[in-house]
Amino acid sequence: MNDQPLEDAKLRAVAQQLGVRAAERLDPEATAQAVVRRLRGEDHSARRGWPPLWLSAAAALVLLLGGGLVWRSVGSGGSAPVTALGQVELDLTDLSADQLRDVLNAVDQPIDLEPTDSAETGLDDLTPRELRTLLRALEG
Amino acid sequence: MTPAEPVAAVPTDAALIAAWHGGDEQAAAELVRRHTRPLARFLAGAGALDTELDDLVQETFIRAFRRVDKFRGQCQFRTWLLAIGGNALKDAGRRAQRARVVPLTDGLRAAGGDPHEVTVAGETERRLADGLARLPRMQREVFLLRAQQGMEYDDIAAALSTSPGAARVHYHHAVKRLKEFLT
Repeated sequence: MNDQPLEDAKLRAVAQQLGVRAAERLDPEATAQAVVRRLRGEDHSARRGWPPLWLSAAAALVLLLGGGLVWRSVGSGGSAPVTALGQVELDLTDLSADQLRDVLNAVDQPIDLEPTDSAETGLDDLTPRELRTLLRALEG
Repeated sequence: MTPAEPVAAVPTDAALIAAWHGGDEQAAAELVRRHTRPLARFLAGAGALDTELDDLVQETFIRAFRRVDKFRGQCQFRTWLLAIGGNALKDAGRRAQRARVVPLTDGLRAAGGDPHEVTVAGETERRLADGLARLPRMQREVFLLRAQQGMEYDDIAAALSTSPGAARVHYHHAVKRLKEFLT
């Protein structure tokens, strides 16, 4: 391997080739027909936007737990201001690195809403200063 | 001289989604045809095994069509689809450390070109795949969406339920770690 650091453009070029051969072995037409066959067998109530009752209950539970996790991470004991949406406004400078990671894990969730640890999100790599910068970026 | 035939407009993803919502199965089929290979490339890069790629691709589309009501055009349909693929991969229990890009030395026919160049390129891809397997999931997926798929940060952020700033940070750290691994 070349001792020189890999240039960004070269890295992107290699990334664009990643998985090409595996993808070419798939037949999009066959995949399309298989998906359509499966969709025909699906319960059409999901297509009308009516989620199963268990999913709605699970979503409500996640929201409750997520709110509790943010509150506990801050350790505010009720002293932090709460917005109309119930979100805690954080004084980032007082948070330890572990507390910052907990908050980031709570607010920066992938769409599956499953709890993630800092190793999965890469937060262990970041310094406290970088964690605060990232959190401010998430707050928009 | 006869007038030229009008070229049929290619339907947008949004139009196909609306058509499928109205019961047009062929609209769903067209969406699958259009996005199958990019989805497969993303899943392969994210660590999906070759032998399970077909099932994962189908499962991703099924999940997407089940929840298409929740797609409000907040990002490109493809970006949203790939994010669902990432979740499907995770649910399939495939850890990135066990995934591999099958190198040419495993007997697959090369697509063409100089054999030495192709072998070197395959080795670099394999090492990149190994490096990606070592990244946290968010960094890996942001890197693939950005570097492999060419998505914009706003799109990536909307699909992964994060902010553009956070997506940039994840990408920066992914690139840094991959470069360290590859040199």
